[in-house]
Amino acid sequence: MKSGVYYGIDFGTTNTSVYLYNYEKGKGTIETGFGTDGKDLTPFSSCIAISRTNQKDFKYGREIKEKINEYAEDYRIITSFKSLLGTDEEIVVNGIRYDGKKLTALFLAYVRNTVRRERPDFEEAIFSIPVDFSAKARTDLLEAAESVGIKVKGFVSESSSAYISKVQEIKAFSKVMVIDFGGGTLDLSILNLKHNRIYEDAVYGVKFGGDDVDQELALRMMPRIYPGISFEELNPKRKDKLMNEVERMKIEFSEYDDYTITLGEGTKPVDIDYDMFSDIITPLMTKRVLPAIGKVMEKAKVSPETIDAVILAGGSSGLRPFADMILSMFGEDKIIFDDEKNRYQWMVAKGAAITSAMDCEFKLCDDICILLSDKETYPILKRDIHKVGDVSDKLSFSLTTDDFDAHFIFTDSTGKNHYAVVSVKAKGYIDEKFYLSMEIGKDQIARVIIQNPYMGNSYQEVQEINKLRFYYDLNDIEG
Amino acid sequence: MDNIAEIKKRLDVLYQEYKNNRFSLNKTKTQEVSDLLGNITFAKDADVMDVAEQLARFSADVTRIYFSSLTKSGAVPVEQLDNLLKAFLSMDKDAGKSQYYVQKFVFVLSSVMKNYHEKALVSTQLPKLVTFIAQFAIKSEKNKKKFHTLVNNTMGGIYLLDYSNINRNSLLNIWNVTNSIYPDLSDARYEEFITDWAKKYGFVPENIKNSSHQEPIVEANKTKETKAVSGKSDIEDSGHSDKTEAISEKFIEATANRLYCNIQKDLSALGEAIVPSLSTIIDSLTMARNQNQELSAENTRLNARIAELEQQIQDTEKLADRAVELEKINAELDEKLKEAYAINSREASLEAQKIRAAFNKDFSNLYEDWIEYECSEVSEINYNSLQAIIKKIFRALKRNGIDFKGNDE
Repeated sequence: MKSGVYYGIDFGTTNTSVYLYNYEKGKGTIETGFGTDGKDLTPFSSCIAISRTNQKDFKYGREIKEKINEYAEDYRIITSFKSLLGTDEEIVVNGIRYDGKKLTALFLAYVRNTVRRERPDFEEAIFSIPVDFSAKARTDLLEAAESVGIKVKGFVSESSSAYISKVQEIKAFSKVMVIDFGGGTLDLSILNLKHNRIYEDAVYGVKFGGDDVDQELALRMMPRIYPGISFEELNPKRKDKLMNEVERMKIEFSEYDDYTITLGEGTKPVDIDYDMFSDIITPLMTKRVLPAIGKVMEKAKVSPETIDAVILAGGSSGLRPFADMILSMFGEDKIIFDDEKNRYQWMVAKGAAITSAMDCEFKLCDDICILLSDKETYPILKRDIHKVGDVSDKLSFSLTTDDFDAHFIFTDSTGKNHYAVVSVKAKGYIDEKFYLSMEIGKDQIARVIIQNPYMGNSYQEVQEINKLRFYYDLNDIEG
Repeated sequence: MDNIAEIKKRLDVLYQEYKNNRFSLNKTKTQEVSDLLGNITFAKDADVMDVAEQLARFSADVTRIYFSSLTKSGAVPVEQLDNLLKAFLSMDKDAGKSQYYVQKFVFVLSSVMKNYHEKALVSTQLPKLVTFIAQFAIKSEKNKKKFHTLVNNTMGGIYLLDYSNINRNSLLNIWNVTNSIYPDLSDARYEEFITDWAKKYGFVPENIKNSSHQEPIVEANKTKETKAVSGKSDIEDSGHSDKTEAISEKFIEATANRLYCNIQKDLSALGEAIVPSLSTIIDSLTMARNQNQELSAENTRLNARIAELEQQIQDTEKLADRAVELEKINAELDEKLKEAYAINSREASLEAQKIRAAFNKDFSNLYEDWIEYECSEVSEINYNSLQAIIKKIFRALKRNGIDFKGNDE
């Protein structure tokens, strides 16, 4: 690991964390999280408020989240713009169209400005992304970040990033489950560590997070607080106050068994005990979290007994009924709890920063092959050799038939799993030459270019292959 | 100063000083006179008479220095020396001042004989200088001592000079003064030279073993008178005397015996002298060997000491390197300490910042509640709400590290 300052960004659906990892060889590290309230406290809320009347009026951060309903009257509040990345969906505010990339650029500019007030050297970072983040979404994120001056050094999956943040504690284990319970999503991964290489054996995610729990709690509290009134009927200020109370309630139930909801003058305070709280949340956990865990274990062909360790990450991991459920499923010995209070929300960003510091290589788990006419596979880029950033040699292929198009089928090493099929126009000459080259971008997408000079010098077909699997080579890991 | 006239002018000045100073010059000026005479001697148009005149009027010390310098290299031909000496002798024109030449001629003879060795023996003027000295030596003890000094200074060499052109009276003076100095010739250091000289010039018979008991012959005082009358050197006018060349076998045997006895005596004396010398030499060698051993030991000790010192130098250099290294480490530690202080300071600052932010986050909503309830009516609902808010405040404080005894646990 080289001495230097490294940054990781956990660009989450609900919250975004920036983490500084300053490594000095022989001296140690200085680590700090950056968020909406300054350092090491609360990540940035991934939401943007766009004025409905003033095209240049944008608001960001916790202030928006805490008064989201109040602001909603004058601002269009956009909370999950991450999900817009890689899609054609747009939001129109005050006559201006905002797509996912544009919204992300606006938000990342705010993040950049906030961090640079403390750290002017914040220019480059590794982004953690969900495993199922589409190729287009990755490209959009990369372009959005670089458009506001944040150079994307690379991407790492959120689960691997969480693993890397704890790698010193768990490097002796081979099968590790990462449960990333964030504000908007629950992401699960089963990682396999072999010879300092991290393989993602299975990944699974559901759109269920802390925000869903808050919503359920608020709805369930309504009859007791405002009998006969629906949540939607509450004025925005009351809505915001209730949601903030729910947020505080979750925090207090992690330590206490009782909580009193107070919503202002004239409203009756409501006492809630932990049993009642748990009765509301546990069914959600049972319904949403347990199946997801079962699903990912099934994909990886493992059981709770064969899992060596469980890493909890994400801001909602401190939720007591959730933690109790994971404990009962895997046993206390296997759970890697956070070393500091309320640090789950920084783990993924920290892992991304450490990944940047280690300068680890993202290598292909399997070959990218082309299926030949005799059904044999010919590797274009090879497993364990080629990595993100590599470019293949320029290869030539000949047409074996007199067809007017050629079909290039890209597969894994078995030839059975097709990544993509590319049709290239041809003149139908025998021995007509096609030239092929392939590159793996920082967004972990392989881009193949096929040219046929018989069709003109400018003619080429381009295809992206985004179902690739990579492992992380941790040879640079210390200790 | 190359010009002879100028040299003479300077010499005149010096002579005047010499004269004014009761015929005395200091050492530097005496040397200067001698040097100036040297310059005249080797000047292009040099005239020996010029030099002779100066030698005649200055002190004997000038003569001594001048001739010592002139003859030192032995490069000046004897004939040239004879020309100079002839001129020098010709300066003696005043009988009242003749005696002043005695010492000067002693110096001349001593220098020439010392530096010219056998080359001096062919000189025609040196014997005349000897006879000059001798005629005064027979008259006064002081001059006899000078003659004696001359014999010693020339290591008896004056007896080897060729006196064949010297008249009998002059030779008789030499013989008489020699006898006067050495009443017993066997005690004379240069007995053989004297004996041979005496035999050669007929003062002892050829068959006489030695001339130790020969009486002086009274004729010497005539020399001056003759000279005074003729106005010329008596030597020039004298004729050659026949020499007896035949040597009887008896005389040879006697001479051989005498030489043998002398050699034995000398060898004995030499032995007596050598044994203690050898003993001394052996003692010296033994001492030297002991000293050598001591020196070897000392040398060994010194070598060991040098090696030790070299080691110490190396150790010192290592220590110096180590000191530099330690200074570097010290500087690094200082730097680390500063960094630690800085980090500590930053962390303390960060911690304070975090606590402020956490308080802000935790209390901002509670504060809004308080504002709302501050002016509210007193009612059971509001009371319960405020009680709950206070509870939340204390829990928030505890969560941020401010704990009070009797909290609501």
